[in-house]
Amino acid sequence: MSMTNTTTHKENAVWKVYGEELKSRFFIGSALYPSPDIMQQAIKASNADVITLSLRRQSPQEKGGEQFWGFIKDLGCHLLPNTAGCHSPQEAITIAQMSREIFQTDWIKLEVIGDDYNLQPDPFGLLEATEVLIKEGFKVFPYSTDDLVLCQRLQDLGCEVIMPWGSPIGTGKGLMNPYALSMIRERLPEVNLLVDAGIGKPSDACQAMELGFDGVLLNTAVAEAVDPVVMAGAFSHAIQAGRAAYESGIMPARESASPSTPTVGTPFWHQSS
Amino acid sequence: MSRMINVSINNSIEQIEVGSTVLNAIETLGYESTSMLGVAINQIFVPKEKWAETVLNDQDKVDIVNPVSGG
Repeated sequence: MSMTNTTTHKENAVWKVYGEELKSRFFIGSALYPSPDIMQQAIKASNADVITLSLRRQSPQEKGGEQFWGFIKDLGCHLLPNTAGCHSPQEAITIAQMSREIFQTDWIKLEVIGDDYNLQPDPFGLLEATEVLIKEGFKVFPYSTDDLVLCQRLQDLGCEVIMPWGSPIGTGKGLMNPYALSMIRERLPEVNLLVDAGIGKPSDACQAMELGFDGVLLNTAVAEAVDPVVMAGAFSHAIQAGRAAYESGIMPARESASPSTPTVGTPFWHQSS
Repeated sequence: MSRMINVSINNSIEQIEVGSTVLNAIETLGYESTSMLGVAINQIFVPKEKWAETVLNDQDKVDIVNPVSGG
């Protein structure tokens, strides 16, 4: 899916995710911003086509849900509800079903968390929930580890998108294991891959795209920047740059130096007499 | 006098009349608008079209959710 959507780099080229055409390879979260106004400005600056959001309990006195919905619905982006905080397949399945009814979308970012410290996906619960949701017609975007076999199983179940982590959610540590991510890319050429979680700076996002990933999903790195709006723009440029680099063919790294300036005609060298 | 049952709604114990439906509970609790609400009972999703006919039982655990920001 990485190289088949475009054969040469084109500005504003579209790619397809579960049949939907997207222009941007930047999926952005809606949480942690200093204010709703900054959230809206950052999302616009990101040029993202997809926003993640979630569901939480509401008391009758709280009007937050409808207010938040008002800030989001007019941005014109595809909605990708998540199952953040779910620790069992049943919890995730139920949140997905509620999300589908409320947001009127089959898309679901599936998170089944196995550890409360590093918020690592529970691979077994993730597979169980994925199987059920795919059968119920959901378009599943599983938040996964960088385990190749797990990603293969997710593809086998019918996922057309897989989202391995770069590093634990919110850590900003970037890509912990680029080798593992590159292996997933190499071995699963037909599936859309996005790095989700742990991105800290635009160069991390660029690196993910240079590996051949189809997109990046991030939230904290923009929302907790000193200037989220400018940072969102920086990430947008970085993701575009990484994609262009990947499509244009990155030179292979070498072990020894190879001069770029021609050696023929180098002055001051004289043959010994 | 109506018989009352205990139902946990969003982790808060509420006393409601026997025979109350999900819709009764939502209205009684004072939710003004239902357009962006989702409901689950004992972790099982209850579609909106079933709210008026789904009767709550004693010790049911009900979750009522709405949209929030997320990453």
